Amino acid sequence: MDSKPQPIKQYDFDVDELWAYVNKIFDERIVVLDGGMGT
Amino acid sequence: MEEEDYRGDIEEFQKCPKEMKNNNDLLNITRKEIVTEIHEAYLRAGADIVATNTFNGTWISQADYGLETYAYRMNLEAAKMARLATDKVTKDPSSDGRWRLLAGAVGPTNRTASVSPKVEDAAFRNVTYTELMDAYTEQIMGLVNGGCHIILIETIFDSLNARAAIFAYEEFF
Repeated sequence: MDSKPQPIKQYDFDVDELWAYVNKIFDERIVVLDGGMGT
Repeated sequence: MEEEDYRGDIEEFQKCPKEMKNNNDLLNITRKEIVTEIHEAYLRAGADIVATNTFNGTWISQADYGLETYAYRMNLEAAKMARLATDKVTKDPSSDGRWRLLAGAVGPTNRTASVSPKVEDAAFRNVTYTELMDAYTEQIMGLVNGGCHIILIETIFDSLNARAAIFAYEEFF
């Protein structure tokens, strides 16, 4: 039986860089999110 | 797509007694090429962010299909394949250099914590806050472990369900 999954300890991207990028693009322009059921 | 398309060529799903048609989250395991193709089409069309195919990826929703034990795997696989697509398009020389991001979709589930599904019994609930917390935590773990940049809690029409999702997110991080 599989053991219970555990959260990863390290991301393969820089969280601070991601946060800055997301804020930047949302400030700059319309950000396009793909059209799921709720979007 | 028909019943056999959802089950794919994986024996464990071919044996499932319940109908699998319209279990779109199962496609993250059985028909990855189809889901990947859709992600890439959105990215090539200019999407900055794509959402994983995990709207019903909680054990609560998957219980309808008898696949509640596969919820974590569905989220993990969904995130992994979508992340490959975002990375591929981000690095593509013919792309415009924008960072394409992946949002892990967390949906409402098919049960509501605030409203009774029985008109004759207003106090009845078919899901608890603790169960929702557990289901959302498992889903978020699969999405994060699969490489999502963002968690997108979406279309949760029951505010108590939404609260459980937000609390699960906060507790996870």
